[in-house]
Amino acid sequence: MNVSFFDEMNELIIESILEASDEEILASIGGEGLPTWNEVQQSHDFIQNSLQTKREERLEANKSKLLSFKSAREKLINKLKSSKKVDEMVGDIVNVIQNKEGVPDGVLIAFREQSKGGSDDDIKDIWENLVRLGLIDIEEDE
Amino acid sequence: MGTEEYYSEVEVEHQLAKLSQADIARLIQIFTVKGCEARAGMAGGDVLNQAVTRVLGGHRLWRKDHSAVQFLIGAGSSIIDNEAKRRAREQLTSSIDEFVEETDLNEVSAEVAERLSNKSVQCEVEAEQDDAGVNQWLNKIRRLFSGDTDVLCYLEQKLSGIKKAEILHFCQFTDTTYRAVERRFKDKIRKRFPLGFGSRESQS
Repeated sequence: MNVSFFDEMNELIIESILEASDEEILASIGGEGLPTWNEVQQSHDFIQNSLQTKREERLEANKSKLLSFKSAREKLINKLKSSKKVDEMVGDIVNVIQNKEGVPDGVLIAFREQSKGGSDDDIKDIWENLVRLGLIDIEEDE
Repeated sequence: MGTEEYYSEVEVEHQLAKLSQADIARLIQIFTVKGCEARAGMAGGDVLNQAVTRVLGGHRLWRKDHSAVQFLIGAGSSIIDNEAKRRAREQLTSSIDEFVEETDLNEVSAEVAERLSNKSVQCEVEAEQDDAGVNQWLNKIRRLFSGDTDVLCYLEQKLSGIKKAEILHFCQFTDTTYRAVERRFKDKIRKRFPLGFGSRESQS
């Protein structure tokens, strides 16, 4: 009987704590047998600090992921720029130009200006710029 | 088990960030009633802090239909129960160690047999002591409500394990009266016994 009696009474007290208004709970802080303002504030600070630390950790992890993605992509662009055939690059560029809806006008104008030279290096530079703008997709196995 | 039933890592942080001072005070008080100090030797605030750490560490999934307070009560209760069990095991181990150290090995069998034969008597004594403890608490509650016949009727029926429908009949309560009486009872024992019941000596 004792365990169920104590449990039942404690459950009723807990129900009453949950049903009491915020004003009543706040007014009772510091009363005999009740939490003090210091305890409440300490837990409040602990929670806020833990959340701040957690957010900072996630931000750092995401930063680090982004940096590693950028570094891998940079290596891939440089590798493809030196290994990909110029004809293939021209093909990629033509595909971008033909897809006018997905390309801002400014990019088309810049492309026309840049392509006036017409050398292999110019084509490689244009190709690289379009890759960096995300208008040409590149894959590791290219 | 769809993930949409549970808060994501970021959503958990948003929920915890919204905990008010009143919520924190409620949680500390509830952990005290659940016996954090008496059973686990932990302060209510420490239980709450550990619960938050565990939740942020992703050790416990948080269903979206549970409020922050409800969810943290569950997390904190597990911490208290686990610590209480750990302490009980530790106490038992040290008792066994003491027993082995203090006992002449030649007399162990006789000693064990003696202790076992006394076990049922010991259990009966402990049960009697427990009942005496409950009666002391009951008397305190009855004194608290002396003169409030509705609450005393409600209490006596509750103690007999009678359910609400029968309490309504026995005590001649309407549904509204029942709720009012129960509310009066709960609120008054919360204010009078803020540490809860059982294993506490300080609420004389």
